[in-house]
Amino acid sequence: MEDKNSPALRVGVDFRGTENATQPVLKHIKPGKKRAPLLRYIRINLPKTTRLLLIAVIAVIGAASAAVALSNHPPFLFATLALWGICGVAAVFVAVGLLTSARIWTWGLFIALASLLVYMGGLLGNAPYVWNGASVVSAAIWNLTLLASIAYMVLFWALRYGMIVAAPDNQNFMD
Amino acid sequence: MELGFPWWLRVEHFLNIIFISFLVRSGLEILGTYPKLYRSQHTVPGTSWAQFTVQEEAKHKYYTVGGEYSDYSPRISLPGRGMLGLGRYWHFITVTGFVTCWIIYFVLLLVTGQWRRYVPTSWDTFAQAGQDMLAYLAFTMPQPVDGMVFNALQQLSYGFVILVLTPLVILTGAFQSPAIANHFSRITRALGGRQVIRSIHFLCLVSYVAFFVIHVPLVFLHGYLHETSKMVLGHSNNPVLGGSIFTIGLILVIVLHVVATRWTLADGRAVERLHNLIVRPWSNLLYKLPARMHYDRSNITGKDMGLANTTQNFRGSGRPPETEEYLALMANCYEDDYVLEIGGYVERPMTLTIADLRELAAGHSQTTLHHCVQGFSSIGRWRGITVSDLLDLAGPLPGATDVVYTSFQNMGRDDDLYEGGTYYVSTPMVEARMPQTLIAFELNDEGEIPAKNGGPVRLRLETSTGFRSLKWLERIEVVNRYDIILEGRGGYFEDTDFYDRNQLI
Repeated sequence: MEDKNSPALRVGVDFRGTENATQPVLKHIKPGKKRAPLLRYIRINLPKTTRLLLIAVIAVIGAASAAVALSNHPPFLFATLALWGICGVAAVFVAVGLLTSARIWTWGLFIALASLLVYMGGLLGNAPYVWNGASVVSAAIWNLTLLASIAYMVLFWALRYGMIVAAPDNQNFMD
Repeated sequence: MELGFPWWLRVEHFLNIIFISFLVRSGLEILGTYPKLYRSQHTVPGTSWAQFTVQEEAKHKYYTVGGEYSDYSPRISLPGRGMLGLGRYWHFITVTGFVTCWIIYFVLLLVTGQWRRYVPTSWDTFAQAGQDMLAYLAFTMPQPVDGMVFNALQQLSYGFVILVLTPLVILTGAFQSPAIANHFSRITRALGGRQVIRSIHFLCLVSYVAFFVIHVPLVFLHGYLHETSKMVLGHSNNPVLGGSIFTIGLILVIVLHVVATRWTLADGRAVERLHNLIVRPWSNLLYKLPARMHYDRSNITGKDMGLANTTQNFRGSGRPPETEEYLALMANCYEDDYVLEIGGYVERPMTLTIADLRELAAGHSQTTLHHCVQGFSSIGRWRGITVSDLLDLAGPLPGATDVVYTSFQNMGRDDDLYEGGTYYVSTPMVEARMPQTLIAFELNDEGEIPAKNGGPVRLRLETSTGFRSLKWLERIEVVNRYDIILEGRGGYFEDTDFYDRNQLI
């Protein structure tokens, strides 16, 4: 490094030649506005926790799908096949998520969307709701596939928006 | 016993809507002035676990914490626009009501037997709460337990909010106070340190918001008029009347927020007077809690940065004086040129060089946690002499009540964030005489205090927030009244902004 007395340069931070070198910079503020959109102000940097949370949500989708497939109340014709498919892919997702540091979040989105699709199919068919004769537990597990899918999609959106970050990535805060 | 909805419980429910909404908004104002949450007390840049700002600081230039404000909208925070002092006033005014209300409520719960509505008296409640959770997930409505006014899951949730979350937020809020945190220093450390406590306090805010996000839709699902009527009339025999009154109440709460926000932005001094009336009677009691911190040399900030010169990492929060006089002192290493004046209402006015101070200090030092009013913290080992010892040397005359400290710093000249003149603070004699109120001339046993940390000599006022630990000290003056100095509020920030001289909270 050129300047051994600069703590920033010593750790590889080099903004020389940019406005941010000597001035604070406000991001995400559109021309004519004073402030950025509200959610831009939220940035959580808990990469490992977030990774585990995303994996846990997919695990819930997989486990709930398996439970619905095992029940004797298929939401629609051939639903059991789709549910086992989701369960299998979710199991692979969880294994890859726990054993590697791959960025698999888009794959998780496909699992969540598939689960949501199955749930929508159930609305047209004979989904295991209490009013369709299913037990409270079966109905709760069935609805869990919906809620977990929505939860994953919200988390995925937050991930893409920059509110949260999952390992191996990092918010790279410097201030 | 018939639990029902006694009048005091309904009043408390409504007051808490006001208190908690004000606390959340004013809390966000406080958060916004240092919108970063850390685990470590050293608040090393880049290590925060959360940030609530869109600002990125200058990468190759020294910046002060004063520039790290985030300008939140008055629609979100109270009052908005980075008005930390006024946000603090509202927070403390509301805290006074909230804590008083909670204590009264807690006592009434105990003496009336109404605690049973929140505290499970059987392990079956937990199993039943699980069943209730399944019922909600199955999109059905669980029924209340026999003899109860709500179901087991509601019982546990409300019990958690009232008997666990609320005491936790009060405890972590109390330990934001430098006087409390530094008097009960071991408890501060046992709780994980200043920044862990601050993070937990924030997570309590998130928990309240999450509770409302779940609670409000469930009120609608259970029947808005039916449920709110119970919270107004105590029964649901006339749901339209009860629901209407409750709705009007909610509208009034919103109006109250709008009025409070606009009033605060228009007339901050009026809010200050309200604060002084409500808060000072109890905040003045904290003068009975002198700081007594005992951090080790190994605790000081800088170790985890791995840099050789640890003083580089004790956070700076102001801009050094830009005068030829001060620069000349710095160029000559202060040693022979710097003279601290002590005068005013004393028997023996005196001047002391750093060599004199070093001799008088006789090796005395203290390793303490710095509480910035905005939120950052650092730990430093300060060598110096207590103000109390200096006062004994100078001999305050009978009637002396306060000590005024004046800096070389001129805010309007030295820091483009501020306007105004010479930086000064004043302490009541009781604070000046506290054992850890120090005139420091050395940081971390490594020689002189760096310019950014207030060298050559500064005040350490460990019971107050950081801005009252005046840096670049030029003169100490004992007085018999401080209210005739400049604006009469006892300090630069007290005069020009909205801060109470009592910064023990």
